[in-house]
Amino acid sequence: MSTRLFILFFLLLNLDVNAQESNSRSYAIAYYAAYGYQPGVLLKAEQLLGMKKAPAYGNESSKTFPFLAIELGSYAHFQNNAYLSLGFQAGLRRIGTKERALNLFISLAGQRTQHLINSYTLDADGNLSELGKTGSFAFLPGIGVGFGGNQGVRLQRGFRPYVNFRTQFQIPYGHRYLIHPMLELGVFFGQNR
Amino acid sequence: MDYLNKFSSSVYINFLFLGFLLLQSSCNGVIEPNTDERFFFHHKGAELAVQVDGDVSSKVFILFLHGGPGGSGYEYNSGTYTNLIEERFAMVYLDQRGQGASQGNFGINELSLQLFSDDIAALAKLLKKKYGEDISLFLAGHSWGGLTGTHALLNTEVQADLKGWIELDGAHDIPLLNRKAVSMFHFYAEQEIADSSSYTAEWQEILDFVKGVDSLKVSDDESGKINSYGFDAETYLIDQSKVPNDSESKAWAFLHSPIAPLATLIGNNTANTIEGESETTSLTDRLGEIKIPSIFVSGKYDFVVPPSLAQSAYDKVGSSEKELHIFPNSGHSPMDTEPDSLATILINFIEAHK
Repeated sequence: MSTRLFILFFLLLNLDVNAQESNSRSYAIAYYAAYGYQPGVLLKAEQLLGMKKAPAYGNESSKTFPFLAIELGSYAHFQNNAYLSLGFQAGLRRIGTKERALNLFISLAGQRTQHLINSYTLDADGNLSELGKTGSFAFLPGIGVGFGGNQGVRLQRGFRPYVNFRTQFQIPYGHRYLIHPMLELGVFFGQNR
Repeated sequence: MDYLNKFSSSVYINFLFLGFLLLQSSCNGVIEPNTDERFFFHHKGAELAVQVDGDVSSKVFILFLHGGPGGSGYEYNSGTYTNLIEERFAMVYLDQRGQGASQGNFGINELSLQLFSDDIAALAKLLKKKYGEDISLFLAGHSWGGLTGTHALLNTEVQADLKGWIELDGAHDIPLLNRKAVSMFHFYAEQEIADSSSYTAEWQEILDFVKGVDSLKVSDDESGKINSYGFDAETYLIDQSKVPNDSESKAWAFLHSPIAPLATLIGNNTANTIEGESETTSLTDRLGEIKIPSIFVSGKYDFVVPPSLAQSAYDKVGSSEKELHIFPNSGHSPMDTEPDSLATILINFIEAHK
């Protein structure tokens, strides 16, 4: 893991902790997969900003909150690459009536791409050189929409399911960038009361 | 705060462990030495994806170049013909630069036929270093792979590393290809319209199009339409009930492909970038410089790369040992329509020159 990723992680952690007087912090674990079939896991800690107490949003009234999350994700494309990313997600959550929630968000992460197969090259003398399982660093901006993970009345309950659909851009890739359509299917749990 | 820190640290460590396990399990199940190996070849900024399948112990390798541009070696790594060939020899499926699962980091303005040729020549060297200097290596190219393969034969030293050249419906001269395709469209369209075939309206549309084409000055747009109509035309002439329906294998391939589906956008970008040079490159007059044993294969109903190109290549190639095969029930992909026959003639050619 590069130094840059650690710095980013702690900056985001600090940002999250500074909002501790709020009682709307949650954590999530999700099945995190490109195209739905390249499997992985996503962990995140999320803070709804501006919610001081746990009101019953999602019952009779609705409101929109900004939210910020730090997230750590990993998934694998077999015979190709494994990906490990660390970054943040920011967006808006509309907590509506009937316990429905809608999320719109952007994300940015640093990504370590690790080949799952060996690499070879020819050195300057034309000899075979085995490079092992090489990897590279990429940036991973993304944009997405999601449903569920209601932070209103469901604050009183244990697990709150949600689904996010996200498009991420792996930059650089080849002479361009690679688009990853991601499925994030998970549950929020816990809050700091 | 402490709670959060402890939680984050614990999760982070567990997460890394999970990722490590995931990575290890992925690695363990993929590579089976001597039967199925996949690796990246780092060359001039690219990480070229290479799949080696078949009988490596035969010490006979066929380096296969896919079509497109924008295709991949993976598209060719299935079906009867590959199974028959891989029972006896090793096939090396290369995803050429900027296509398929190939990756890396290089400037798009660097793309040129010479760079593709350099990749091919360097991979031939690498295969000899990896599997032994005594291996028998053949180069094969289909469609646009026929252009990059021929270009490599003429513009690098790769012939010295090869036992033979296999060109399948190869597009080594696209200006000539367009002229021949226009002639072929005229011939078949007029014949099918006169015979009131089931596709009379479609043939009339093609005929109307080619009547407006100056075959000595084909625009990029017209060239694209020639290509598109070419795929259509062969479906009008070949009994489609004899063409294998591989919809099930396509679904399987999608779920198991090492190529990210949206990498096709990068392949398209590569295709658009190299299109100008590809469309204007004519190698027919230099084919005499190819001295290694060569075999040219085409489908009788190939409008995408007309069989007259294979005939022309056969006539002009400098090899003393050469073969020409025109498959009577095929269009652009004899590997799909006559796979047994194709495998047989390729195996015979390789056995004769390995």
